[in-house]
Parts: sequence; C-alpha cells; structure tokens
Amino acid sequence: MAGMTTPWIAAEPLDAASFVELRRRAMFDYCKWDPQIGDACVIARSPLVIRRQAWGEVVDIAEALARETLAAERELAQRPGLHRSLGLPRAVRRALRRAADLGPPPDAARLIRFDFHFTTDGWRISEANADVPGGLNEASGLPVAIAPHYAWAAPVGDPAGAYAAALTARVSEGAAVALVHATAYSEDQQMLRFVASRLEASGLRAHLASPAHVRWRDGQAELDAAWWRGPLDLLVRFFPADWLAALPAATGWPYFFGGARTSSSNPATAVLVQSKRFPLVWDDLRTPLPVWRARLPETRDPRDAPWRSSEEWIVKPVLGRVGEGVGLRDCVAPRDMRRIDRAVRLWPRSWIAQRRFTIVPLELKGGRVFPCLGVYTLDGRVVGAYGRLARVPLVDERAADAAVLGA
Amino acid sequence: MSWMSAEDVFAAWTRQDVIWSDWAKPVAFIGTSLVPADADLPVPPALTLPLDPGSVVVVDLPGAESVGAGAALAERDYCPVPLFNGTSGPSPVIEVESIGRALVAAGERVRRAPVSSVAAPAFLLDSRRLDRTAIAPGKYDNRWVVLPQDFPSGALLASRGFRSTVLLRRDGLSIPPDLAHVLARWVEHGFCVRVIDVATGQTADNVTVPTPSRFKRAWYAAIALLGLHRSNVGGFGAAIPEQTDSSGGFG
Repeated sequence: MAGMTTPWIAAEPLDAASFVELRRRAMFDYCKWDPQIGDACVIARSPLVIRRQAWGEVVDIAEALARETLAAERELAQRPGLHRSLGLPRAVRRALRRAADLGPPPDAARLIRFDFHFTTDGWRISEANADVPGGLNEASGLPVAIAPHYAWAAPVGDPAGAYAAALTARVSEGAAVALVHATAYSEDQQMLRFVASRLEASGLRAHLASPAHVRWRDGQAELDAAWWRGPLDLLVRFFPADWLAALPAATGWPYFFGGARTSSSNPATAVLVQSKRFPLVWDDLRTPLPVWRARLPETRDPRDAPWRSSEEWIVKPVLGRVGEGVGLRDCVAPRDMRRIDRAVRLWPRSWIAQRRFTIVPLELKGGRVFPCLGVYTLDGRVVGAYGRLARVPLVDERAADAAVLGA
Repeated sequence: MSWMSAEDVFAAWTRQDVIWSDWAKPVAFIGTSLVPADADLPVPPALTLPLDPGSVVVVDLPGAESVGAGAALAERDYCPVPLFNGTSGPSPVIEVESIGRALVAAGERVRRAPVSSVAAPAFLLDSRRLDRTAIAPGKYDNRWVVLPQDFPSGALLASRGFRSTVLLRRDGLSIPPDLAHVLARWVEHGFCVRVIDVATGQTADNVTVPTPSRFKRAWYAAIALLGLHRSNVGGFGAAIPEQTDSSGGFG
C-alpha cells in the first residue's frame, strides 16, 4: 500500500432533501425500480468520484481486456473441445458447436462490463460480464441526476446512450428491434425499458419480449407475439445464454448461438468468456492474454485449491451473478457456507476457486465502503461506468448503486 | 382529481416521514399518467374486524381490491406500501392496468389520510400475481413472486415494536408459498401470524407458517422462480440445476 495513491476522491453525501429527490429521479426518470433491497437502500448518497489520471489508467486496462476477451471468444467458438472445461451445460455446449459449424450470429455492438476493484496490489478485476451486462440505466442516469450537486466533477460517460447509438447505427430507420429478457423480472425490464426509450427516440420500433417470442425462419429472426408479428432487424439479448436451453425447442433458441442471419447484441457465444472457468483454458489458447493474467486473481478448479482451509481463497459459481453463491467466509453465513461446500463437492466443474484480493476501502461520511467500478466497453472502447459501494468486501445485491464521476 | 403524473400518484401513496414508504415499489405507478382521473375504485373489503395498530398488515387480495384496502387502511393510520411488482406489457398474462387505475382513483384519498410517522405498514400485494389462467404462447408473461428482499426484515420490524402480522386474503386462509418465505423469517423474530379471509370473515390466529422449501437459501430468489418455468414462455428464465442466479442483470 505504501506509495499507492488512492484513485478515489471522497465526496460529501447529499443532504436528506437532495437524496429524496435523487431517489425520485432515479425511479421515474431512469427506471430504477428497485431502490430498496431488504433493509438496504441501494442508491448511494455519495457519488463514486475517481481521479482523472486513475480513470485514464482504468480505461487503458479495460480496452486492452476487451480486445483480449473478444479475440479469445472468437478462438473458443472454433474450439468446442475446450467447452466442457468451461463448466457449461451440455445443451449449451451442443448449441455452441452450432456456432463452430455455422458461424456465430452477426455481431451488433459488443457490450462488456469489467468489474474493477482498487486493491492493495493495484487494480484488479473480479470478473467480466460479457454475456448480459446490466446496470446501464443506473450508469447513465445517476450521474446526470447527481452531477448538479458536484460541479467540480463530471460523468465519465453515458453507456446507455452510447449503446443505443451503436445499435441504431447498425439498422435503418424504422427497424424492428426485440429486447429479449425474462419478462417476469422488473429488475431486468427496467434497464431494457430505458434502452428501448432511447431506441424509439431514434426512430426504431422497440419490442420488449421474451426469447420465447422469437422464431426463426432460415436464420432470420421474427417476433411471434400476441401484439405483433413480423421480421426483426436486430436482437438485443438480456436473457442469459445459459438459460436459453430451457426454452421450448420450437423457439429455435440455438440460433442465438450460431447460424443466424439476424444481428444480435450480445451473441450467445459470449457465454464462453462469461464462464468463470475461462482462466482454466488460457494455457490451451493461442490468443495472448497478458492483461487478463495480470488483472484477474489466480483462478483454479476448486479441487486444486485449498479454499476450505485457507482464507486466501474464495469459491464462486461458474455462471453466478450479483455476487450470489460466492463463498467468502467472513461475509457469508456459516449455514450458507456449508451449502456452498456441499455444492462444490458434488459439482466441482460448476465452481472455481479464486485467490482473494484485498480491496482498499473508501472512507465516506456515512462510513467505510468497498467500491466496485464496473467499466463498460462497447466494441472495445470504454463508454462509461457503473459504481457500487458495498459495506462488506462482497459486492452483492445489497451494495448501493453509485453515480460515477471523474475529477 | 386532475390529471397526475406517475410521480404525483406515487407521492400521494408515500410518506417522507414514514420509514415504510421506502419499500414502496414504483413499478405499478409507471404509466399511471395515462390513467383517467375519474377511474373507479373497487369497493374495499369491509375491515370490520379490529386490527391491532401494532400489527404489520399484509394485504394479499386481487390487484385493485388490494389498492382499495390500502386506501381504507390509510384512513385507519396504517402506512400503505404498494409492493406490486408486475411489469406492464402488451398482451400481459396478469392484467395490471386496473391496479394503476385504482392507485390514481384512490390517490387523493390516501394523500389526505392522517398517517402518522409511527404508523404500522400495510404491504399491498396482488394475489393474482401467479395466476396461470391466461398463459398462452405469444403473451407477455409478467407473473411475479414476492421475495423476502421486498420487505423489511423481521429484525427491523421488531426493533420498531411490531410483533404480529395480519394477512388479509380472500377465499381461504392458506399462506401462499412465496409469502411463506417472508413470514417464516418474521416468525423467527417472534412474530405471530393471523390470517383473515375478507370474503367470509373467518380468522385463523397464531397460524403456524410452514417452513417453505429451500428456506433461507442464499440464492432462494433464483431457485424460487424456477418452478414456474414449467409453463415457461420465457418469463422466468431457464432451469438452473446447480448454478446460482437471480435475474440476468448486474453480472
């Protein structure tokens, strides 16, 4: 830690009245429909302010990671022999062979979010959200809402706006776009509703739909919904790739992986690098991954790491999200650790062990927090960030969403 | 009442000086700006049975009726907390427009209700949230479940002096499985549960909340929803065997 300069600038929290207004704006202008999780308000009263020089460093790292990630995914898509090592379900592996045989769907705007942490060893990433990176509405909306109170800082980007612009650029005016998601989750629809509004403002016809509403005719996607039927020009997928296999066969879901003529963002082949077992195949890849190797903590099969006896290791589910199922002993109840232990024992290929890093906390007026900086890259270029402030060194659904500003 | 924005309607239903309003979900209010102000509000159930002001109330009635009950409870110094979490969409499986209309229709009445800063919460749910009747290919599957994270914890409620829960239901005294996960957690903090059937007036006191399946699993939220995928039209996502998951967001 000696000699390391913190990347953060501690900002004063909003006063009570301003925070009430921020919360209201977040809900009604930026589709933040889940501001309360259990007893925790998950909108931060302070922005996460990063020094400009540090932001520049993060941008360089993230863009290098994005280049490596996309190159590795292209190679992995052609090497189905490595897919079992990634801990992917069998049906997904079968669908991925389709990508190898027929080619992945045409790419339309590759969006990835790398979760950065400033640690005692410098910048590290905990994961890459390459499949369905969320948080766009918070990442774009909260900085705009909070910025007037921090005139000395400015938003670092508008990822939702950049994403909508990139999608719009790939199709003609009036194009039909399906934003595909699990329709029962308001938490998912909130983000897509926000993106859809931007697409509609650009003259596109946006349909919020389930993947079960999509049909395929010779690789061309069509929407087959009670409210509209017709060919689609673009698919925006916010339905996890590993979930597609549970859909009825009539939906033609394997087309999300390969053989499609309709562009997709992100193509389901993203699951190849979404898997937390991705590091376990690095030595088998021709793609150089120097930045991944430098920034991701050492990762092993759980059978090859002393995670049960050493505090230096944690376990994570291969396709886990929102910090769920992460076996971090001092943050997880003993009962849950026992269940995790059992799950790892029974299904080791569905887990990884990762060497733990030590997040440098940030002292704010409301108390100590452990920041996570989610940096979005779009087609390899950084377009913004999404902050989360956790009270414990585990960023889960109770972490507060924070506007990211640079100064 | 004149036309109101969704935000105005939400403001009418929430109180800045009552902590429980923080749990109010905005989902049902989105789109209420399109609702005519003269919409009818269903007649609320006759809540003639005495309700202990020290009880937390959970109103699990059909959509608009729940809203009506919430308005009536506000006039009895309860803080109504709309927890409707069903998304709107074209051709929905669960009709939600009537909830929005009811929220608008009752908005002024609730705004004027003398809800004190120490009022007990009355959580408003839609008992139709898992109704499979209208499921069909092509429809927008907006069914939803309640989760423990939608509510304050038993510990927090107990710290505010609450020790009992009254569950208002219609046509029966059973506790829905998703709600059992919530109530079982409160019972662990010493809560007793009373269930009232507003249709018949029948009451069950000190109800034993059955320990629900996979109780307290860290990733219950995901697993709870998997059982609904059997009639999957993509609404609830995939079957996840040993993996954990919630929604697809925030990776």
